[in-house]
Amino acid sequence: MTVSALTRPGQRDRISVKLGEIDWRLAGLLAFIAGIGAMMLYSIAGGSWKPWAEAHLIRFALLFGIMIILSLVDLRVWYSLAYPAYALALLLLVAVMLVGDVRLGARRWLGHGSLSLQPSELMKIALVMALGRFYHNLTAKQARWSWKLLIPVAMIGAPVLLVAKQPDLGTAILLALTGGIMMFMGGLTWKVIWPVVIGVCVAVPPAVMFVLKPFQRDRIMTFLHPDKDPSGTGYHIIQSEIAAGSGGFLGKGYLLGTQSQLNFLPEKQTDFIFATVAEEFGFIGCFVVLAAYGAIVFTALRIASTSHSHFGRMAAAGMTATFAFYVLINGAMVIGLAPVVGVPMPLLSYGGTVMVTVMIGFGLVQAVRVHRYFELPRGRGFLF
Amino acid sequence: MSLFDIRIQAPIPSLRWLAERVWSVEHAFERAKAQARPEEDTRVRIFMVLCVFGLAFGLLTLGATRAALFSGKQTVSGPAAAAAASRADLVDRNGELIATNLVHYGLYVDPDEVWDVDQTRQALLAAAPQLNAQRLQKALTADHVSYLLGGLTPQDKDRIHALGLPGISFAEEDKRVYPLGVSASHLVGFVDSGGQGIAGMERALDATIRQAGRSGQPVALAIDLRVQGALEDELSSAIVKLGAKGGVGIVTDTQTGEVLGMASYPDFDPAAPGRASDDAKLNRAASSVFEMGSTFKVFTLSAALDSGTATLDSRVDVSSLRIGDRQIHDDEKSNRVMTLSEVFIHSSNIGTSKLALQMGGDRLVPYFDAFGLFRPAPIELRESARPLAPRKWSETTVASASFGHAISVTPLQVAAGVGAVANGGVYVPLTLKKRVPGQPIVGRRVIKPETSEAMLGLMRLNVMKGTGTKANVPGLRVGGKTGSAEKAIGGHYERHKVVASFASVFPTDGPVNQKRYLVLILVDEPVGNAFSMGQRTAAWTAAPVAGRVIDRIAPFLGVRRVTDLPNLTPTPVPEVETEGEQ
Repeated sequence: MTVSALTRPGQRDRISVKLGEIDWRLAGLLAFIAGIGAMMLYSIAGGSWKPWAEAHLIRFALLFGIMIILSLVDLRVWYSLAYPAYALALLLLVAVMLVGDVRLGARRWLGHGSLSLQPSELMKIALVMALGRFYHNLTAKQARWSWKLLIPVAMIGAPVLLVAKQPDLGTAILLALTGGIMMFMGGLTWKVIWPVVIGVCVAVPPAVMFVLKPFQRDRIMTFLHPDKDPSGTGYHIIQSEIAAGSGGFLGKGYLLGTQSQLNFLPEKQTDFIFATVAEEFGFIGCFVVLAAYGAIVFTALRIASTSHSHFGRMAAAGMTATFAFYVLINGAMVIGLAPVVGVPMPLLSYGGTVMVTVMIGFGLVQAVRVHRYFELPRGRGFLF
Repeated sequence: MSLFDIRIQAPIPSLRWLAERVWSVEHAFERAKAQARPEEDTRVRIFMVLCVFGLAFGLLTLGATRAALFSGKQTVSGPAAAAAASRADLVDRNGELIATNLVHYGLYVDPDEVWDVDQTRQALLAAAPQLNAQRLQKALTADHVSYLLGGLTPQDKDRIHALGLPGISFAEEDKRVYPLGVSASHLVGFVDSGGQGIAGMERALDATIRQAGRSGQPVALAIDLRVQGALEDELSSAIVKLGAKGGVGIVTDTQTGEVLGMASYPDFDPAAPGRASDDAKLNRAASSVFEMGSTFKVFTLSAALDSGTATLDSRVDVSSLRIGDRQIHDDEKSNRVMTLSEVFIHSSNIGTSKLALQMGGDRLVPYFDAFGLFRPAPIELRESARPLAPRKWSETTVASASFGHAISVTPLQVAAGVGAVANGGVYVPLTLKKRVPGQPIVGRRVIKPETSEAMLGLMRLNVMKGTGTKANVPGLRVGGKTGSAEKAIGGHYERHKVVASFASVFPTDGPVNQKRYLVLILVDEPVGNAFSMGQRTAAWTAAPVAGRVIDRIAPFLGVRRVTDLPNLTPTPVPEVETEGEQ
């Protein structure tokens, strides 16, 4: 600890001090996972830097720099930008509904080519920031149980419905889970938590039957009975299970995974990259990667709990929860414990959008860490 | 709870680091409780979230463990498939390779993973034409993983793998390889596609071979491939030339019971037993029973001499013998009195029967039993067949059995029995495993050494002057006894279907317990053509084969040729040319 609570005025604002306050172990863990990701992408391409591994590393290096810069940004700036960012994201989501670009059968994208943007990704950060700011201004009693809680419910509900409509089930679930966990962390009374948890459990089966799109329903049905449709939707699950199962304890060895390199494994460079880890490095590889993810979640939640501001606590914990849900959903899907929903393994999977979201998110977490002694006054901000 | 979670998430095994973390989280928890400040409630909630995530990561790790280690789906390759049961190499007594294992591949199809059944079927049939189209179709539409084809060479496997068909997988399998092909096929036997011994030594020594395979040791058989080669060569060429249905050749070491060579004709390729007929796969040496005919006189006269009811000089009238309504015949009728030696070398049925009746069934039968004629040959082979022996020993039966009728035995039984006559009188179980030098050989005395010596003399005399002259090999002191038995078919003896056998031993001289080898040749239904001077009898069919085999194998067995003493040189004895049938 280079900076204690007792420092000279202005010292905490110096760049060099702030850089020292960044949690470099967390940054190192992120780089470690991205490095493993590049390694796996190199293997999947048949031992070649192109087309994925090189781009993956360059993108990560760039975003790593952005994360460092973002971590130096004053928590008050984050705070004041929370509502505008949320409003912008919501607007873009509506815009996607109206004029979005249809790719892979879903209307998720704005713009064309390299300048395209997935507003739902922006929403993942904006929602966390906005909920953090909202809870910052709430008394503990209000956060526990009051009419004001209808506002966060609406804040969560609106983007979830819009994203689900695109349709992007994975992101919608992620947003709903993150929002829910933030309401829980905000202090929601147990009297509500239990009925909601039970209600969700009861409501899922009918929702699957009547609300979901046929292809979404198929995925879940296929997950429950993958052998019914082996060449269609079940193929993902079966091949992924084969890849993971064929790794054994020590794996087949780096660059020796047959399932992934022979193209048996679908979406091998994105959603199913964890299966390649399992195949080539076996149980040991899975364990190391999961342990690294676990360590990231642990470290980030500690950062959240050490923050002196409620906004910092809520935002950092919310971002960490998003990240943890990514890992858990993708891991469960690859191993065959959950249905196939398009959620990538953050930092490990190839794909820029998720990496951008995650690294900006960790920029926020690091900013909370750097500015953990800052006391944020209530009610002040860019808007409101 | 918290200790458990943190251990999962912290791979760095530093106790101090760990304790610091545990403490700080616990501390935050305690502090929040103590102060009861509303904001601090969030810290507690964050700690709860941490616990939930920790639990979730733990579950995910368990899931990964299950998927990685206990997944039911097994695939192309991997450590699990490589550990297939392996069998030890089989080598002959000199360490020459007879059977070994090479890695081949089995082809499997999992219909659940096949995308396009038609495409897969066509591609597979084109790549592996030996596939059965119907079976393939069945496998492609089944609801389980099927084994399609085994024994794919690495090249075959690569070719099919290169097709990139989903649902097609390979597993390493040990394939048994017999580099010598048909050589010693009946003796060695074969295995099924799963590496299970099915016949011959592969079956008899299955457990031993597997056990030795684990330690990487070869299993040494008793046979000498040089002996086996000469035996097979002579036997098969003779059978082809004689137009015979089949044949048997056995070479044993009479002292140790080791089988140095064993051939059965027709033979088969043990690498592809499925393509061979049952007749070819039949090991005639172990599994077929024959009425041996006059070869049995060795046993009868041994018994007569050993029991003391007769001596070499005993005389018998061989003019005629009638028991009840049955007349015993000799091939060559002779109205005179013969000595026991003459009975043997002239192969007189009447003389032998009279000697047997003189002894009586109650004395002869125990000798036959001691020679192992009523039990399957004592050898490792599971296919060693049970003989057909009479239950009641009437005078007629005793007379018939004395010259090898009314009792059917396997060639291996005869080899074991004659071996006991030749080795000094001890019945030694046969073995196909190489004996460990110095290991005691458990035998059972059947006849006195003097009797054995006398019988060796008689057998030598028979080759010099009697029915076995065609088996004589200069300098090798061969002795033997012929046997030509008409086959009993449908209740009567078929004159043109003869089983011709020759049981020979060499060398016959020297101390009674010296190294002595037995060569048994049996020819099943020779037709009697120009090659055998129109004869079917053993003197013209089996005996010459035995002679040639002995001539070729003696150098390998270390039997030295000696200059035949002038008085022992076989001289043509016109009056004993008895082989002519008519």
